[in-house]
Amino acid sequence: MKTNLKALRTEAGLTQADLAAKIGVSRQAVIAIESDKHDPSLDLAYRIAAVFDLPVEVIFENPHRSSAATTE
Amino acid sequence: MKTLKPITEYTLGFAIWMAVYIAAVFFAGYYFRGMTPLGAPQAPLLYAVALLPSIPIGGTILVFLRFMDRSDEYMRAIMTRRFIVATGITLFISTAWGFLKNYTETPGSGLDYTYMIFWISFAVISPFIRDSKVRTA
Repeated sequence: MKTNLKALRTEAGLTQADLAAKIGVSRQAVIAIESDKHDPSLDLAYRIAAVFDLPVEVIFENPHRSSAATTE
Repeated sequence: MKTLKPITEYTLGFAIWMAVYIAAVFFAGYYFRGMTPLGAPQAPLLYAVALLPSIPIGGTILVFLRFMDRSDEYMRAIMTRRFIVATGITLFISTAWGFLKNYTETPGSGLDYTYMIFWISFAVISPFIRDSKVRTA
């Protein structure tokens, strides 16, 4: 899942360890999400969105949105 | 009391149970050579001593499960994948070795290597399984 988490985190002046502590996961989990090695669960995505006070889809690209729009 | 981090608790617990396993293997070896104060092997004690090295396996699995419980979703996902792949490798090696023993001159003592094969497989594959996603493309 494409994400701009790294850019948002850097912009907010947070280290990977800072963000990991805020969302209650390991630093390895943050690294894996930023490098597209792990798709976060909905709950974790919401926790990340709450840290940046942004909607989930601003942080994680919805890969189904364009196809869903065309099928409607 | 300060709670240990999941990875610290896992490493510590695993090291302790592995030490118990190695001690049990050596003790059983010495016992069956009659080199302990217990004297020559005799029933029913010999059955208990023969089973002794298998008991720490339960300990390591409990440590592993507790680590899974306390870890975050990413660690849980990659540890599960590693466990499945290591189990597959162990099944493959054990089965292949068993057939080779049956039909060729391949040496081997029995199933007592299975536990070691599993953890060696787990250690070897772990650096290569860092992705929680199954990529099919």
